[in-house]
Amino acid sequence: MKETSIQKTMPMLTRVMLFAILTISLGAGCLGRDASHPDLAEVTGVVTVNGKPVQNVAVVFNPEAGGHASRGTTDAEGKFQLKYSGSAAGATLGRHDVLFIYNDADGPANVLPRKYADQTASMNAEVTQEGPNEFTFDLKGR
Amino acid sequence: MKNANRLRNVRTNSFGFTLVELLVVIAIIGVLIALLLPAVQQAREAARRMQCTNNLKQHGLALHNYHDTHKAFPPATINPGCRDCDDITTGNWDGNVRNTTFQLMILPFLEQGNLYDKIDFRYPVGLSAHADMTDPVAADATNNMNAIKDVHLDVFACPSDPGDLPGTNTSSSDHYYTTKYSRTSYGVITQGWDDNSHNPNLLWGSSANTSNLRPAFGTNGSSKIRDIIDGTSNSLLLCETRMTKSSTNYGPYWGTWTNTYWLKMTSGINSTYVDTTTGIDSKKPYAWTPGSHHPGGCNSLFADASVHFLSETADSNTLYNLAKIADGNVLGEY
Repeated sequence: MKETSIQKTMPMLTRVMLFAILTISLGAGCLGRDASHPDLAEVTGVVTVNGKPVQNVAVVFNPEAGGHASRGTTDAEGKFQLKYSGSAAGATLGRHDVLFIYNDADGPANVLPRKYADQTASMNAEVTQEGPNEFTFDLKGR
Repeated sequence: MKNANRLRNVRTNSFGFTLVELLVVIAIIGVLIALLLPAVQQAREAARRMQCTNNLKQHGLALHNYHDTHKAFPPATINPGCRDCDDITTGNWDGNVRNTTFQLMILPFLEQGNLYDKIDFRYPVGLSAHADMTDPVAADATNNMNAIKDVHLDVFACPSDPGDLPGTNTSSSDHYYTTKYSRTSYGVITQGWDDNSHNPNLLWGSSANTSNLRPAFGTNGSSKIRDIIDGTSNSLLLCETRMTKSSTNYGPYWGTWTNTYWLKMTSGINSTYVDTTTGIDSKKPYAWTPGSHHPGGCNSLFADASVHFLSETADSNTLYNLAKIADGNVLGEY
C-alpha cells in the first residue's frame, strides 16, 4: 500500500511541476522585450526667425549616418524638445542635418523661408552623449 | 482478497481522472484559448490590411491606365483655392477656382464611369478657397456637389480606419469646405512641401518646383514616367494617412481640394501632434502626416504600381528620397 501511494503522488507532482515550467517559459517569452532604439541624448533648443521666436516650426534632426529622425515643434517662445518616437525623448548621437518646416495649417504662410524645408539648405547640429544638447537656430530671410 | 483489491485499484486508476489532472487539462486549454484569441484579432487586421493594399493597387492600375491614355499622371489638383495662389505670376487661376482632385480624374479607371459622367469638369467641385482667392460661384458648383456629396467609395478608404466619417465644415468662405464629402486614406506625398506654405513649390513646372526635390504629383500638372529619373520602383506616388487628425477640418477628401490635401514625409509616419501651447499630446496626427492604423507603419503606392509597407522607424533620408522622383540619391533599406 505504501508503495502505491508514492507511485500515485510522484506523477502528480511531476505533472504540476511540468505545468508550472510550461507557464513560466510561455510567460518569459511574452515579457522581457527590450526597448528597440539606439542610444539617445536629450535635445532642446530655440528657433528664431530674424531674431524673433516663431511658434509651430517643426524641427527635424536627420542623423547624417542614417537612421530614424527625431522631431520637435516650437512653442510660443520658440522652444522645442526632440522626440525620437511616441515614447522616447531625444535624438541619436552624432551629427545631424536639421530641417525647419513651418507646420501650421491655419497660420500665415511664408513665416520662414521655404528653403529650410529642404536638405540642400539644411543646418547642422552635433548631438553628444555628455551634452548639454541645447541649440539655438536663427533663420534668416523673409 | 488482496488480489481483488489490487484489481479494483488498477481499474479505478486506468478509467478515472483525479481532480488535479482535470484542473491541469482545463488550465492548458485555457492557455491555448488565451493564445488563440489575439491571433483571431490579428487575422482580422491582416485581412483588412490586405484589402487596404488592394485599394492602393487599384489606384496604381488606374493611374497607369490614365497615364497610357493621357501620356502623363493626372495633376494632384486642378485650380485649387490655395493660399497665396493669387500671387502666382504665370497661369494664375484666381477667379477660376475648381478644386478638382486626381481621384475624380481616375474615376473611369476605377469602374466609376457613371459617377465621372455626372461631373462637369468646367465647373468647381467644391467651395473651398482661401481668403486670398476669389470664392467659386456656388451656383456653378451645385450640380457637381450634388453628384459627389454623400458618396462613399470603398476604394478610397482603408477598412482598418475607424475615422471614416464625412466632413462637417460648412464655411464656404474658408478653405475647409468639407461638409458631406467623404474622406480618403490615400494622399499625394512630398518630402517637405505642404499646401499651406509651399504652394509655389507644388505648382508643376514652376521655378520653385525644383526638379531634384519635386514629387511625382503637382498642382495643375504631374510627372510623366520619363520624369521619374530615380526609377518607378524607387519613387512614391501615394501614401496612406489616418482619417482622424488633430482637427476634424484636416483632409484629405477625395471629392474636392481642401486645405491640407497633401501629405509630407518630414512629418514622420504615425507621429502625433503635441499642442505647442498646452504641451498636451493629442495622440492624433497633425495635418499632412502619413500613417495608418496598421501596426508599425503605413502602406504606400510606388510609381511602378507596386504597393509596399513603409515602417515608421525606417531611415528618414530613405523615406525622403522615396518621396522625390529625381533626387539622384542611392536608396537605403526600407
